[in-house]
Amino acid sequence: MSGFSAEVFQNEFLPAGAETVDAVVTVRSSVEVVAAAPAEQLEMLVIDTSGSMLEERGAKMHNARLATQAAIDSLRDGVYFAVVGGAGSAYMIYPERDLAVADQTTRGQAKTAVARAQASGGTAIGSWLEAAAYLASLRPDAIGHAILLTDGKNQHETDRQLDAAIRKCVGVFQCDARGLGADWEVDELRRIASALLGTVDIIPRPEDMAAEFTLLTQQAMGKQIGSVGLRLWTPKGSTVEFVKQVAPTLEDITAKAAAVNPLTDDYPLGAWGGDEERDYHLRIRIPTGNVGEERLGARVMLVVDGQDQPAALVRAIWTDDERLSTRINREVAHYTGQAELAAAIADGLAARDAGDGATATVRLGRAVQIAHEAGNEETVKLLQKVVEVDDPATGTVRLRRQVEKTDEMALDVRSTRTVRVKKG
Amino acid sequence: MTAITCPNCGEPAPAGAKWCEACGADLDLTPAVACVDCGALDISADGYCMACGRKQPNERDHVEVQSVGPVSEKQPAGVAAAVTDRGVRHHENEDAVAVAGLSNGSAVLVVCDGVSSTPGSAEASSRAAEAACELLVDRCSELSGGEASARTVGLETVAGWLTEAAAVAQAEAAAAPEVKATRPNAQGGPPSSTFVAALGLASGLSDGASGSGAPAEGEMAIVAAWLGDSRAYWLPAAGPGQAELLTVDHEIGGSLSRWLGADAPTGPVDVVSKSVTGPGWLLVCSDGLWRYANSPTEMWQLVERVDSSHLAGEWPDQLAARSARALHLAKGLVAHAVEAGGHDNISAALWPAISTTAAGNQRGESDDSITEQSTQTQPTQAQPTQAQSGGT
Repeated sequence: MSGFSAEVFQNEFLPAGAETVDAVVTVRSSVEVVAAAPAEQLEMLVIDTSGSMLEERGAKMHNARLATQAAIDSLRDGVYFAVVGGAGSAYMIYPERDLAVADQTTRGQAKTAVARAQASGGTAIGSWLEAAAYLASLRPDAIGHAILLTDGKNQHETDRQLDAAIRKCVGVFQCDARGLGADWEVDELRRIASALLGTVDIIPRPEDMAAEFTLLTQQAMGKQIGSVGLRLWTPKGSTVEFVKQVAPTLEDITAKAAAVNPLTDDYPLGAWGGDEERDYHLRIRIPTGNVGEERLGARVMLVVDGQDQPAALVRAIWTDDERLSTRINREVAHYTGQAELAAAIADGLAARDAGDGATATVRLGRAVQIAHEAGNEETVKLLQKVVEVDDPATGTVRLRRQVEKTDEMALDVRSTRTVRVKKG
Repeated sequence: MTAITCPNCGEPAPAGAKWCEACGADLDLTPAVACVDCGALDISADGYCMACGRKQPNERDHVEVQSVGPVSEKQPAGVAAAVTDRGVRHHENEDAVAVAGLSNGSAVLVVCDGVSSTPGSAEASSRAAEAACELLVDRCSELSGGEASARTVGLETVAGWLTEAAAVAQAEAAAAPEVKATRPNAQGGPPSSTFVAALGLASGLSDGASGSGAPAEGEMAIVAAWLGDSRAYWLPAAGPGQAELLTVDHEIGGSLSRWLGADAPTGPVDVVSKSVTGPGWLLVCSDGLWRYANSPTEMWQLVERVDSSHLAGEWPDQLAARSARALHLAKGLVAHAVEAGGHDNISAALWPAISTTAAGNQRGESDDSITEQSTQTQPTQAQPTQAQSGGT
């Protein structure tokens, strides 16, 4: 009924004594969205209006206004929305207080208000998030989403304040975070997006903002299923080593587990569109069995609208047939490689920042090699802006001396984008 | 019908009701089954322990069947028994057996060994074995007394039945639904299985349907057809030197060259026939057994080790007892293969070959008890025995 399904990819055959079960679970939605009774949705546009937005002869602020107006134009009638200005504290750009309901009139009023927004003051992102959390609390049943734009670091509050604010937003709304230019912190926005089940990306040039905001708003409008959960039953004596979303982006959600009972945990998968596919890599340690025995590694269920439905089984069968146990499952191997790719990029960039050219060359070379093999063409292109590639097959690279800061940030922030297994 | 009372709300409910119509409480009083591993009483519908995750034994993991044919005034019934077991190393039993005792001391034995590298083969093998057995029982129905005498059945006719049995087995195996390959070694091919069917005829064969060239008194016959590496052995009481492997494995370089299934090679089916003088055993088995006793001599010796009494000529008179002894031997052979490592699924099907003339002298006095026994075991006319789960 719910239109959700899950499929498991694994090599269920384990050598004698093995305790670790790996599986990739593909979760699919295929839901007929009923136009007559759409889910209640809430869109919050949280726009940096700090003083730094005046830079580039006003181009940043000008384009931020255009982008916000484009996002407003993408709101469907009936959607609750608000535009929040962010500086040393948050303030309402539109409506004056609380939320508006999108229609022709409110969209027009909102765009006018946005056109008048002025940039000044500092950057305290936590306060912006708290404002959004308050607004979202007004429509607790709505599918809440925010676009958060900043061009700078979180300078006017502490890290602890930011983290406390993020915690208030978890489970209240989802947030896609975007950094404009090169003066913001990848880690700060990544922390926000990871916790709030959203994405993080760089917008290198102000003129690219409108297209990005339009896209993000359209995607948010497509999320018709508010909260989906991955429910994992694992046997007594087992440990869930990790649960990672591995496509479309890499996101470790292990720590998001909420216990249902001693053997069952729920992992929030956020809001879903009617036609989506995401992959998850599970690794579970279970008590070993004798050769010829079978044990469940996990029972995978999906929780949609509070209803759980059985979805798929992760199995473990112990065998002494090496032809079986040594086979590597393609999906598991692929996403293990994608995780290594992200780690190699992170390591390489960190070593490069620390002035350790040798380590940076080795790790970024390895990243080029994996990306090349797996067909991550976008990632190869991003890597090429940071390293000269002599031979992608062997990962032979040289560090570039002159690297644009935004190119380095783009590589960093997009290192968690994965490609799916090549079929056939 | 006695009514029961709902333990939850006290309303009466008809006996056998699954739930209470008044309050909806579960009335299914089937005792909870304990997990074979941790003992938890919580087994899911799909067969896993809800505490430790252990897969519970499948009903096909170990199957024992016995069959006693219909009893006529003239001749004693044939008996047959078979055992199939998952073994140790495979996690699923894809072998299937089907046996049927016929009238006149004869029997049908079928073993199909589902190919583990093609998913869905367990269904292919069971469908094939049952269909082949059913067909042979139908074709042999003219042996069950009446006008046609067993002695008039010609070799060509019986060989034709075996070829037909192979064809229905092929049709059934080819119709088994393809299962998505999840195993890493699966070649992704359609379900497939080996095949061996044997007809043990207690009164021999004539050269033709006319009855001319009738077999000698006390002579019996075995006719078998096969595809793949499942085998038929003749193991006479006369001694290991007389033991014989009747089939020739269809195997080239470690791979099957013939099998059942949608992608099976076509061509004539090999049929072998042999006149035998009993007593002795006809054994039909899968490679899970013969890998531990390959040559006819080794197999004879294995039978002797498991139960030497029959080879020594000690055959029980009563049919039920004879059937039980056949089952006992089949269990012993399978147990030997399990103890030897159980690297594959193991199946053994047996027919005690005792000539009707040899058995004839004790027929009269035991007829009543025979009828009783066979009614219990085989209430209808010789139908192929459906696989029964569990031990005895």
